[in-house]
Amino acid sequence: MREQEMEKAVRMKAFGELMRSKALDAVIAVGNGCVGTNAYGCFRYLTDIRVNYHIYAAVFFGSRAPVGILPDETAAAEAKEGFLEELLVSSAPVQEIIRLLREEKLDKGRVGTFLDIMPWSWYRELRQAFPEIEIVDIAEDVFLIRNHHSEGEVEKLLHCGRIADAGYRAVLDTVRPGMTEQQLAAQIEHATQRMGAEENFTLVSVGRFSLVDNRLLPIRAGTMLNKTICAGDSIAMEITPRYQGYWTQLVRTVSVGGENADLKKMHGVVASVIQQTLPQLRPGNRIGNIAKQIRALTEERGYRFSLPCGHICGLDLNEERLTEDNDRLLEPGMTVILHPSIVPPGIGNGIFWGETYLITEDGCRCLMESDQDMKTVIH
Amino acid sequence: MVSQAERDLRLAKLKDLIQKEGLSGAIVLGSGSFGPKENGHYRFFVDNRVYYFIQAFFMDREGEHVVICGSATHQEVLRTRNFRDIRLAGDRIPQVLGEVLTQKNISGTVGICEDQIPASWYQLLAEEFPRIRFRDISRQLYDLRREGDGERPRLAAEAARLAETGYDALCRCLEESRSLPVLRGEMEYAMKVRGAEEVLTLFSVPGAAGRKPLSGDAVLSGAGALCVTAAPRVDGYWAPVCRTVFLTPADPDAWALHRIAGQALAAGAEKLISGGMLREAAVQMGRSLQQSGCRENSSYGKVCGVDLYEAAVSKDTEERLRSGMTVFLKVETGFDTGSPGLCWGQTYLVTPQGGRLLWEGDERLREVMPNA
Repeated sequence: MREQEMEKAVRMKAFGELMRSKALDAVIAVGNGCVGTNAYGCFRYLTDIRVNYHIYAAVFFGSRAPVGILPDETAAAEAKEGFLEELLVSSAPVQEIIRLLREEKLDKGRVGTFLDIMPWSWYRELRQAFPEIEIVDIAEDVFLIRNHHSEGEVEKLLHCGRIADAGYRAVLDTVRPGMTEQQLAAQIEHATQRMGAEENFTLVSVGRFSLVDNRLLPIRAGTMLNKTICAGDSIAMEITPRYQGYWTQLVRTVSVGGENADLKKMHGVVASVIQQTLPQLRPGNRIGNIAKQIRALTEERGYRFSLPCGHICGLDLNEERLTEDNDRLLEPGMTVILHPSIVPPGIGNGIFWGETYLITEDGCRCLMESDQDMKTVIH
Repeated sequence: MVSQAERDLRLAKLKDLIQKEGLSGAIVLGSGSFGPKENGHYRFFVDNRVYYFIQAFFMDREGEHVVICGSATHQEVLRTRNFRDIRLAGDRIPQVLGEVLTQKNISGTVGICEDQIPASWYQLLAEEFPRIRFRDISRQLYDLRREGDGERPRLAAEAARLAETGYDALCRCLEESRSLPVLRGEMEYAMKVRGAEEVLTLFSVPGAAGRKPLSGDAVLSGAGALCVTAAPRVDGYWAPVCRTVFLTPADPDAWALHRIAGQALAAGAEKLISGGMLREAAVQMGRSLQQSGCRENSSYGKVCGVDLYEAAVSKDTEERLRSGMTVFLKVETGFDTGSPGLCWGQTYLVTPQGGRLLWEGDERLREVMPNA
């Protein structure tokens, strides 16, 4: 059995059980190109189809094979690589969904969907067409089944970790004064794409980090301020490739042209906080305990704890934030991005540092091979 | 970014629209998605690139406005756009949007885009504000975008230039590699390093039965030709190019198809006249293909601007052209002989005299053989 077919079988079994347990007669899965909360990863999980543009939909029934609805022939042809065998092209997807539900004589019952993605116009049309159907949000339920990554998914995450490493190496090899933030981002994405990254979520920031007069602003997309690197600057980066649907993130800050004592000091603080937090990354522990530990370690050192300090990743980049009130239990196969926000007194933000960890049977392992040293680049 | 004068003009138009439509305000959302046209509204009015989650913009009847974003980073960027009231909301964008409506004591009718606002957000707002009636104003917002956009020709031309640069890089790389990730990486790098904020690249192999899309880690093996659509985005504006590169010597059919595609594009471009109808370009291109013995296409491209898919170039599209609009025209040609087909397209500026290429690139058919 091919790997994809095995994965599909596992997912459809779990999803079928979910539909039964929630008494769902059908599910309308919708996906778009957004990155964000955990609803965005659900369509990819159920269909193995990458959404390039518009909104893609797939309707799942208890009794017949699911049907994908794509905006054009190109999207439909690409979707053939995914899980769905029946694919339709339509510029009026909601009408197509209504037709499919009518074909199945579903004029009452329960239909699941992702209400954080489904446009209001779709929802309204569905309600008008089927006033007796109850439409319920199932994003959280689907998240719960997809949050346990299979061996195949872990392989992809591991490869994605290597891709992030390559992006970081590209920075160390190429960065020099005179480059802009966007050129730096282009170098990162050049390296990651060559290794198969299907997309990137690259954020950078350039400016001299200082505990007195800090010029290193929070990270952002390269073109947004597009500052030019000067000798003595610090460069903060979130290197975030996506490989076959799965995201990982490597967060690093480097100095250009000379060592920065303040940066080195803060790196020591952040690296030690991460190291002492790693024991919290173990099965059975609550996510909130990670954030609590980071706060305790941060405040113990005389700094201010701030958010974000990390998030769960997988088919979406930010499946769930690491917050102190998050009671979810860690389980083997989950992936956690740790990047504590440790703010020194008197300045607005700290440095940017962190990486992605896989929860294993007895703890965690880092998905990246990049070392923990603070680099100073002199070209 | 667009100029402050242009941004001010856009916001003034939005205020006029709110007053003309009798609205108490308008909500405009932006996300990292693109297509269909609703996804361009936020970029048009706020001029901020949204790459994570959703951001929100609210303008009241007096023209006072609030931007709601997720992070301090965006707050910093929005300050450079002269926005004063910028609310940080993390992932609580709809909740903070509700707070804004409460603070401003909004009642009456508020404009929204129903094809864009998530159902959960709408439900939240409708429940919290039973006295507010939400009305779809997407078409009106799009009309404002079509009215004449002072920045579009310049920024779209820059995107078109980058598209050509990417295509050149692809052809150079094809001499060395047939690996899709490498080809994609080289092509997009050429565009991003010169300022493209993002790029949508689609690869396919043209065949007798249509194009076969290529994705993932595929390596081209045995393909006689590679079709690429590269769409870079510069300061919000998209300008795609589509080319077919031959990886073996092009046969006489390929040269003929290239000539036919060029004729069809020229015929379509002639009809990109301000005041004319977009469908005329599709009709003209279909006629040109038919006269050359080729099948008609169902679509001949799209209007693109701050969204990549603003309207399809097809025979049933009701869209009046205006000066300054940018239209990506594309043809897929093939003979019924079993030989591979050909895809070709580029982006034009609508003018009173007809479509003008945004960037005069190299339109020759390229044959790229691997280096020994």
